[in-house]
Order: sequence, then C-alpha cells, then structure tokens
Amino acid sequence: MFSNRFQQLGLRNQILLLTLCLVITTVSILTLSYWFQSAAQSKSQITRHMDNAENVINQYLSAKENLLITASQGVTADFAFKKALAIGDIDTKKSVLDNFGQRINADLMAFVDQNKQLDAVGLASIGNKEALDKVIDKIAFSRTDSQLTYIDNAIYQIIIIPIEAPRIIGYSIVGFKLDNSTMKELAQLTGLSATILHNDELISTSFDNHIFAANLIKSDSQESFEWQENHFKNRKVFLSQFANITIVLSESLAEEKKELNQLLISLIAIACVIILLSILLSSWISSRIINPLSDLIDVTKRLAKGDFSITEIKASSSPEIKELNNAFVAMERAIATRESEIKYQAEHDKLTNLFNRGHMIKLIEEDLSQNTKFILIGINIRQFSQVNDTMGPQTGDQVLQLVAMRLTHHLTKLENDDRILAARLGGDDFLISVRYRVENEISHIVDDVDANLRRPYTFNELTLNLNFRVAVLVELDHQTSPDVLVRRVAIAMGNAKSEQSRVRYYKQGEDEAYLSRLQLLEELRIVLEQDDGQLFLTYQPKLELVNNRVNKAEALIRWINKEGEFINPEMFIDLAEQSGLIVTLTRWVIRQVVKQLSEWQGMGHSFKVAINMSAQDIQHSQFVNYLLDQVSTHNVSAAQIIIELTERDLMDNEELVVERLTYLKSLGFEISVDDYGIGQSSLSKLKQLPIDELKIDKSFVMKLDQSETDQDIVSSTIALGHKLGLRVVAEGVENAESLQLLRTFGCDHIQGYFLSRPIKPDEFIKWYTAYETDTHIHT
Amino acid sequence: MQRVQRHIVSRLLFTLMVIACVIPTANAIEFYVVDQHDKPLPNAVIEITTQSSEKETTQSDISVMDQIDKSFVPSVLLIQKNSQVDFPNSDNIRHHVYSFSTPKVFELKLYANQPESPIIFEQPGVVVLGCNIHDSMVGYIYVAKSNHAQQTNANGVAIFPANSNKLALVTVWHPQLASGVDSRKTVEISRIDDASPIKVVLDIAEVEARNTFEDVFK
Repeated sequence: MFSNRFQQLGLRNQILLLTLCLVITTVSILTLSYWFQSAAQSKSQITRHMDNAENVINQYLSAKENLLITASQGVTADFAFKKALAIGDIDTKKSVLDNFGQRINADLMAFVDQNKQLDAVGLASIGNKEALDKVIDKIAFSRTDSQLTYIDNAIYQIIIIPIEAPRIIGYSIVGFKLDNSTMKELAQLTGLSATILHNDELISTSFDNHIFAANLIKSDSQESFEWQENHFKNRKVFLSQFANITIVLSESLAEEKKELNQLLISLIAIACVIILLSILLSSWISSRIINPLSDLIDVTKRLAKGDFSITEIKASSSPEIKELNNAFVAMERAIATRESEIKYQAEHDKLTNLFNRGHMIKLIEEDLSQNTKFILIGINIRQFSQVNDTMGPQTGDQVLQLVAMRLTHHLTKLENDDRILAARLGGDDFLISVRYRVENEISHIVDDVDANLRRPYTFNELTLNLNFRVAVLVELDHQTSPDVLVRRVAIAMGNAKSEQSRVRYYKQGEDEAYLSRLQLLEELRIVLEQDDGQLFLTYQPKLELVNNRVNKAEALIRWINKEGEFINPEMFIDLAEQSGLIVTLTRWVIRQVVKQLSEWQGMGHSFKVAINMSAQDIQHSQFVNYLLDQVSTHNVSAAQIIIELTERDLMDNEELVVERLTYLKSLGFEISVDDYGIGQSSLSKLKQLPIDELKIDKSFVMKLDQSETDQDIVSSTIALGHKLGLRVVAEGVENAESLQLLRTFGCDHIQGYFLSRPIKPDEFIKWYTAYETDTHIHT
Repeated sequence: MQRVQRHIVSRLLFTLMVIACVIPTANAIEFYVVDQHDKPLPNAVIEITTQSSEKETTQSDISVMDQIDKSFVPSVLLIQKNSQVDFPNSDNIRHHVYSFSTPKVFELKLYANQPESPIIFEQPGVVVLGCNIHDSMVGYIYVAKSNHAQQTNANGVAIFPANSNKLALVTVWHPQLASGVDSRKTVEISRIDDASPIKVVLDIAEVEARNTFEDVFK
C-alpha cells in the first residue's frame, strides 16, 4: 500500500522524502539518545551530590560532636562546676549551668542526678523543665557519643557527660540545637537544601518558605527519578533511627531542566538547519538526475516519432548521466541505422534491390499528387519458367538481377532529369515509371526500353537471349488510384500474353471489361456450385452421309442467367480456361453427358456424343480417373464418348497429352481434332497423334457452295484425312448445296444449322424421331 | 528490674532473720559477707543497732586516712561519729582532698605532708573522698553511730563480741553496693545464737563498662 503510493510519487519527491525521513530519524535518535544520556548523567550526578551531601552531613555532625565533647568535658571537669552541682542549691545549679552553657555556646545544659531524675535545667532558651522531663527516659545515658534528640519541637545534638565527685553523682546533658541556621549552614556546605524531620514532621529547614518545604517533602517519593512539578529531587537520610529523626536533602532540578531544554532547543534548531540543507541538497541532486532524465524522456519521445536529429543532451556533469547520454546517442544511431535498413528492406525487393510493389505504389501516388506526366511500363520475361526449370532457380535469380541492373542502368542513362522509378512486382514482373514531356516521346521511350532489354545477357560465360512482353499505360487519370493503374498495366500485360504480342498498350475500357469478366467468372463459380439449371447442355446432331443416319451429336454448354440473359459460351469458357475453372466446368459437362447417355440408353437410343475438352482438362491428374469413374457408374460405353480437342490443346504439353489420349483411345474413347484447319499443326504431327477424326473448321464450310477455294481446301482435307485413316466431319453446314458438295467429297459426317441447331435433350429426341420417320418415309 | 531486686533482698532478709532466731546466744557473732558470686567481700562494714539506748562512747583516737601512691589508704576507713581523721600526704606530690558527701562536706586545698588539723566527723554516714587533682583517687570513710560496727577482713569475715546480743537491726554496707554508695543492706535479727557464722550476700555493682571519651575521639 505504502510502497505503491511511494512509487506513484515522482523521483524528485521520492528522493526528498527519503532524505527527510533519514534526517528526521537521525536527529530524533540523536536527540533522544542525548536526552536519555544527559538524564542518566544528571541522575547519577544528583546521586553523587546526594552521596557527597550525606557524607558532609555525617562529617558535620561528627565535627559538632567532637566540639561538643571537647567543650563539655572541659566544663564538666571543672571543680567549681562539680561542686556546685554536688552541693549547691537549685538556683546555684541553674546559674552554673547557664554560665557554663554560655561559655561553650551550647543550646542545652541540664543536670540529671544519678537516679536519672532531672535535677536542674540551664539556659532558659530551652524552655521549661517539663519538656525535657518528657523525653529524659529516651536519652541513652550510657552513650559517650552524641545523640540526636527531639525536645520541645526542636532537634538537639546532645552529649551525656557523667559528673564524678569522685563517684558519679549525676549527669550533665549538653546539646546543640539543629535549627534553621544550622540547616542553612549545611545547605551551604553541601550545595543542597536540607530539611530535618521528626516523625515526618518538619522541624527546621534551609528553605526560607517552610510551607513550600513541607509540601515538597510530602509530595516527593524518595527513590524515583522524575521531573517533579516543583523540580526538586529529595533524599531521606535517617539520622537517628531510634528517635525517628531524618534529614531530607533536596536538589533543585530547575538548572538541569533548563540546561536540557536549552540542549533540546539547540538540537531542534540544528535539525531544522540540516533539514533545510538536505532539502536544498536533495533537490539539487535530484535536479541533476531528473533534468537529464526528462531530457532523455523528450529524446525518447522524439525517437519514437522517428526524429533522429538529436545527438547531445543538455549539460550534465554526472558521469553516469554522461554515460547514459552516450548510450542514448549510440542507441539513437543504431536505431536510425536499423530503421533505414528496415525501411530499405520494406521498400525494396531483396533480390534485385529495386523497389517493391508497395513502395512503388506509394511513389506513383506521390507522382500522381504532383500531377506529373509519366508512363508506366510493365515488363515480363517470356518463358522465364523455362529458364528456371532448365537452368535452375539460382540462374533464374541471376537473370532477374541482370534484368534489374539493365533496367536501372538504362534508366540512369536516359538523359531525362525527371525521376525514373523501377520496381519488381514479383516473379518475373517488373514495373517502371518514366516521366515524359511531350507525347510523341512515349513511343521512343518504349522502344528504347524494349531494345535495351533485348540485348543478349552474358553471365557465367553464357550468353542468353531473352524475350520480353512490354505493357504500357499512357493515359493516366490523376484521380485514379495507383493500385488501379498497376492493375491496368497487369491487364495490358495479360492481354499481351493472350494476344501473343510483344508490346501492348493499355486501351481504355479494358479495365472495366476485365472487371466484368472477373464478375462473370465469380458468377460461373457460384452457378457451378449451385447447379440450379442456369447451366445446361444442348446437343447438335451429326449426320452420317453414307447411310443418312443421325448417330452422333456434339454436347454444347449454354448459360442463361437468373435475369434470363444468354451468356456467350465462348466468353465464359475462355474465362474458365484462363482461371482454371474449366476443369470443374468440363467435369460438369462430362457428368451431364454420361447421365444423358444413360437416360437415352434406357429409351433405346445409343448416340455417340462429342465433348469439348481443353488441354488443362487432359493434363489434370484426376481427369482420366474421373472420366472412367463416370462412365462406369452410369454404365455407358467408352465408345459413346468422343473427346474433342483443338489443335492448340493437342500441342500444349504434347507428350503428356499424347500419352493420356493413347490410353483413353485404347479404352475405346474416340479422339477428334476440333477446328481443324485454322491452327498450325503439320500433317506429320497429325500422323503421330492417336486421333480418330478430323473436324474441319466451320469457317471453311459455311460458304462452301460459294467459294471454290474452300471447296478445294475441304475436298483435299477430306481426301488427306481418309488417306491417314481418319474420319472427317464438317461442321457449319447451312444449306443443301454445301451438303451435296460434301457428299461428293466423301465427307463422313456433317453438322450444322441445315440439319439442326443445338437443342435440348428432349427436343433432340423429338427432332430425331421426326427426322428418322421423315427420312425413312422418303427413302 | 528494681522490683525483682527488691524481692530478692527481702527474701535474703527473711532467711537471715530465721537463722538468727534459731541460733542460740553465744560468746561471739561471726558474719561472713560474700558478693552475689559467693566471693568473700573485704572492706564491708557491718553495723549493729541495739534495742537499748546505749550510751554513746567517744573515741579519743585520731584515725588516719593516708594518701600513698595516688591512693587513699585505707580505701575504707571505719570510724565512730565525732571521731577525728587526719589526712597525711605520703606522696611527694600535692593532693586536694574533698568530700561533697552529706555527712561531711570538706575540702583540703592543695597540701603536702600534713594538713593543718584533723577533721572531725560529727554525722554518721558514708563520706566519699576524692582528690580534685587526681580523679581516679576514691576513698571512703564510714562514720558509724556506735561502736557496734566491724569491717570485714580479707576473708569477708567480721566477728562481734557476744555481749552485743541485744541487737535489733544489722546493716551491711560496701562501697560497691549496687544500690548506691549511700545505701545499706539491712539484716534484722531478733536473737543471735552462737551458731555462726551469719552469711550475708551483697549485691555488688559490676564494674560499669563505660566507654571513655578517648574512644569517641579515635
């Protein structure tokens, strides 16, 4: 609890509090110990005084006794004295006692006969005889030393001297009174006040005020040492146990107390001075610690904000603070270095040291905000994956570094004082930004970049020629976000790829089309998942000319969306191919077709159905398994499925495709080459492929009756196909003339609007039934 | 204490009286004086008072109380009343003999050899003698009423002639009597027989163990 509160205090207050506590504790302890010590000292001093006083009193009484004895002996041995007492009358005796008493200055002179009966009393000051008579039996006559006796409200020191004449005839009592003046004398000798008591009643005292003395003696306890109200310390000394006579020695403590008070006051004054000094000192020390600390706090705050400009903290003389300061400066530098490193890493591509995508976008944004004119050029290395595959990823990296160097080098070479930026977006994609002044500069810039990149690359004693695709974005809307601009470059690049062009400028609206295609693709994905009837298959019948029988059909996918719009199959199939969704789509088609065949089989029809497939489908690892699984599940014969592939699909990864197709063919599937005639396949290639059928592209067939060239191409293709042992199908037959020509050429099958457009399965059966009936009626 | 002492004395007295009654009259009466420790007491004086009024005899002789070697010699002198006593000084120093005793107060101021005249003691009783110069000198003169007084010898024995049979009262004195120098031990005897001796026990004051003043001054 306390430590929490303590920690909540500032360092300055903590130091101050600590110092104050220390000083106050020290001073208190010193004061207390001083107080106790001096109290003990004064106690022992008083005790010593008392002891001394006791001794002095004893010596005083003893001296008095000696005086008494000497004096009275001389007197009592006097013959005249003896004689008077022995034979004188009472008055003579009294006067003798008076006379001799005055001689020795005694206060008491009396004569007692040998029967210890008071005979005569001298010295009228003692009072009457009766008072002495009362105490006579309390006197020890056998004692030769002095004794204290209480007589008539006074204490006497008396001596008993026998009177011998020559036998003892009686005793002389000689006494001195212990009165106030005696007490004063004692007080002077001892330095203490003296009061004599009989039966605890005050008899005489050195105090002037008897009432005060009486109270003092009553109130005092004998042994305890306390600060009395009246500031006196008393000691009771028994002078005569027998007569109960005591003397009380009183020492005034006023002086002691005064001294002690003075001491306390001076101690407190010293403590105050020390406290003041310590406050000043601690605040000085704490300021020496705290000021640099708060400076350091400021520095840290600035460091946190990324301000690395501070190098030295304000004046501080303490070596620890200096060391701390140095450490801070070092830390500051280390942080600055590390931050610049981190910043560099955050902004640059590790491999090529070009900017990375994120930073490039930021830089483009800056340029945009400044309304500068610049073009963005996207660069992609063609067949880079082949470089990686054949020469290893290390070489691939080297190639990327070389290209990056070429780009930077080229850019610095450009005599354009405007800023030129180069970035690697990832993989083999680069992006540069080049500023220009006038528009007709642009094509030069692009050509220059292109030409520079194409120069051969030499490394590891190896010369490599690389091909590039270049995408250029010129028209910049400065309101567009840099992300969108980069995407547009990517779209142009994508188009360059699909269009097989080397340099491709972005055209306005491509972005939007791209986006709508993306949307369409997303819809297709959903539709495939839901399979709610938006997608469906149509079948276009194929007529075998030899026997005029419809025994084959081509399955064609159609999509009518929720809004009832017909989506162009070419468009969405193309999209599906680009996105890889084609595999899912083809599987759907396969499933539908196999089901349909199974259904038709139940109805007693056995058509062969052609399914369009892409290279991606064939190359897919699970394609063969899926196809076989579907066929066997629905109990459909493999011979009923014709796999239609374009020439391009056949050429893509030829080895794998040939292997798969050969296998499928061995299982009974038929392979047909679609769109034959527009591709680049050579006849020798065709010979090696495991195909059964050629399908002449409809562009040659549709206007066959009007074009002699087409007739030549078609007739020779058919002849060639037959020579190679292949069947030939012509699609796009639109009129009877064309059909007739194809019959003449010996074409095996025809397909086209003249026969029927693609129709839904139930219509197909109706159409087929009607056609068969019609044909058979005519034949 | 005093009562007890008195009791003892009366018992002794009674015993003596009984003895006296039993003893038949003989030629001489012998007294044997001892102290309380049964030790014979010399210098005790036994005086017999007769019942008949006997004619007082006067003694013409002068007794002598000499002072030899700072002492009275004899230490106890027995005389009859109206006798004279001479106080010669046998020392080669002066003495100042005095008496404050009631039977005879006198003073012989500083003298050597022989004072001017002997002193006559008219009153019976005990006279204590002192010397003003020498405090330690103490002497006693017993002034008897009649001639029926005897002083015990060194063996504490005193013998009276038989004719003194008409006695009525016997008093015994000794300077160190516990009851004081002026007191007597009284022995009443009705009939004295020849059966002797008559033993008298006296209560003698013990030597008082009194501190000297020199002790105090030590």
